[in-house]
Amino acid sequence: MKRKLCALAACVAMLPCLLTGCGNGKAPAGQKPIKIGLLYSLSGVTSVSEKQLYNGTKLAIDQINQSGGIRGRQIETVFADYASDPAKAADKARKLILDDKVTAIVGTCSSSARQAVKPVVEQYQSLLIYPQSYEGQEHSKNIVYVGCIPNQQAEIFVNWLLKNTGKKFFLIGCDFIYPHVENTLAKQYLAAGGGSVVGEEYVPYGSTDFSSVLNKIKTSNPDIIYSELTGDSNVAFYKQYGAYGLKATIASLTTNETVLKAIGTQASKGSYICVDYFKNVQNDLNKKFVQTYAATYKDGTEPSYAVMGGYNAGLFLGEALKKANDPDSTQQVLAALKGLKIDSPSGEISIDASNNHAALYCRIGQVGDNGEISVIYQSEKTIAPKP
Amino acid sequence: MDSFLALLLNGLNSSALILMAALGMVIICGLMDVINLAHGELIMIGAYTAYTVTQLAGFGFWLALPAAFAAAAAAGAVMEILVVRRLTGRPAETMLATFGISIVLQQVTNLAFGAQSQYVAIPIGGKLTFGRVVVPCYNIFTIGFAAAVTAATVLLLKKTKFGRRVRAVTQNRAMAECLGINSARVDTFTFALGSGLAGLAGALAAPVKSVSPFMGGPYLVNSFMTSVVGGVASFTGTTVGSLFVGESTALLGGVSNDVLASILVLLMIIAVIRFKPEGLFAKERR
Repeated sequence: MKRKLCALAACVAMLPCLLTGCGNGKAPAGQKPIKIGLLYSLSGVTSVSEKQLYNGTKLAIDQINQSGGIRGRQIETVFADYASDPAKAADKARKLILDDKVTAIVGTCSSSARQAVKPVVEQYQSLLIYPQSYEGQEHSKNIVYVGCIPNQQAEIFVNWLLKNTGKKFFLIGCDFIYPHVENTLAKQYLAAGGGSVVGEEYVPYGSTDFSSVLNKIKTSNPDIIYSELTGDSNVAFYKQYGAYGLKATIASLTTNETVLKAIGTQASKGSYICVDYFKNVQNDLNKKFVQTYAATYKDGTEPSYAVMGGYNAGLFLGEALKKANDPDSTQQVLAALKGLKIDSPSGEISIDASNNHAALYCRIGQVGDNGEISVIYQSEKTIAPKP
Repeated sequence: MDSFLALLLNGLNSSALILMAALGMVIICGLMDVINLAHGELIMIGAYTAYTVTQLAGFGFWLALPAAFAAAAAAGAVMEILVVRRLTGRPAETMLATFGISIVLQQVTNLAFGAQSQYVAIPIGGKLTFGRVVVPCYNIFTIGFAAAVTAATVLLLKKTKFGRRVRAVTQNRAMAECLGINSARVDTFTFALGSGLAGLAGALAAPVKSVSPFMGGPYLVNSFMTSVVGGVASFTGTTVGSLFVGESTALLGGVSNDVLASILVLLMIIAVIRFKPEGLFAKERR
């Protein structure tokens, strides 16, 4: 009995050594890690997109840590899951800033979640790096937006479609803010470019029944179905559209490589997608990135614009931390981000100092017979953001 | 006219999918008085079984249908034995417990397969064209399959020994037990049957809808609306209820838009409840 007690005491005594031993492996003595908050939903309805954003950001930060960190200091990520609930996103952001004392937060996906976090980061003079493409029309000095906005995506896409495919557009989206704003803008671009809108439909968020919409598409006979459907609705729409065999082509602002796997080649081939990054972008950095991604993540996700948004957010943050004199100072990191240029698999991109949005390439892809997206248009240089 | 006919046929297809989804719920709710909020997730289990059988294991879709029935029925039986049985006669607790199960099932699927949608190919390609009306062949199969499954379920419950036992337990549990019927076993089988039908609905919908951890919600809502309109007392009611929900959504969506249509359909259902609280086909109470 006594012996057992002794052994137990020894174990307990050794525990702190083990723990500190662990800590030492991560950060050399005296070198506190730099704390960064990751605010993504890995549960709930938006987890489809956010898993990809998360994978991208995590990969970027892991790579920075593996190559020596920030002047010898490691980046420590504090992860918070807000379960696709904007109210919870604000609470978690507050907790990350006040309790965990993070230098910056990377995260949120939907506009409603970002808008819920916005007053929090503004109140505490913190920093949010927002990785997703969105409808623009926002500016906060405490948020850096690294996804594409309409003037870098929709404007070019609509004009390209007008020139290369047809004039008659049918606009469709889920019934929330992003599709409404995008379609309003699309109507302006179409009016300016000589195109016409033969129909505009919204379905309830998450709806997967498109029977009446498909009927309207058939009667209005468009050349292009211009879509901002997301999530389950997006997948179901392509499939049902494929079953009806209509002649119009789908042009989407939201479909990506991961979603295409669920839609299947038969229903998606020939359709167009416009975003800032595709898996098949040809450059050496991207070749390496695609290989690393496939080796790191075996969760069914593919390198997509969502993954790249998260990855770019991590890259920008890493560079800014290196540039700042004191990487624990949010203000210095924020200042370092302004005008910052990085080499990313999506090309050489930068943050516009005047509006905190990223200057990005615009790319249009078409789904081929093998189900892969081939890049058929790429802007010559990055497009300056006009939010 | 063509447009109207096309809408009607599309609505029939939606109705068939809704009927399939609601059938299991009506059996469980009507015969056992259990409101199962994990019904949508049983449909999800069916859809993921179809994905596993066709895409991962490489078998044909025709094997996926019975497999989905079996998988969801097994899940239902486990649910009944472990949870539902222990909460008999406590509807509020049963609802809470099954709601909890639904969240667990969603997140387990999320962890196992990831949050992204999965692909299930359409087993019957092609379309039929009548004048200007286009009908995908798979829609015709869906309608036929739903009708056949409903007929088979009615026969099972009305004409077989199992069905007689189920109805005996529903009508008078104590008396049925006195006559030597193992009512606990009948409950498990009934719940498994309802769950299996939900799984079948999931497999049937998988090729034309999305297969994702959170797909269950809309199916649950549609099944509820069908049960409310048609009542849970008869399969005629279920069929009429699903036709009502499917066709009115399609037709109203055709003349206005889908968002407005879903509001109008819900308003109409509220009107039905106001005047026929037990649904259009409620049995007279003695």
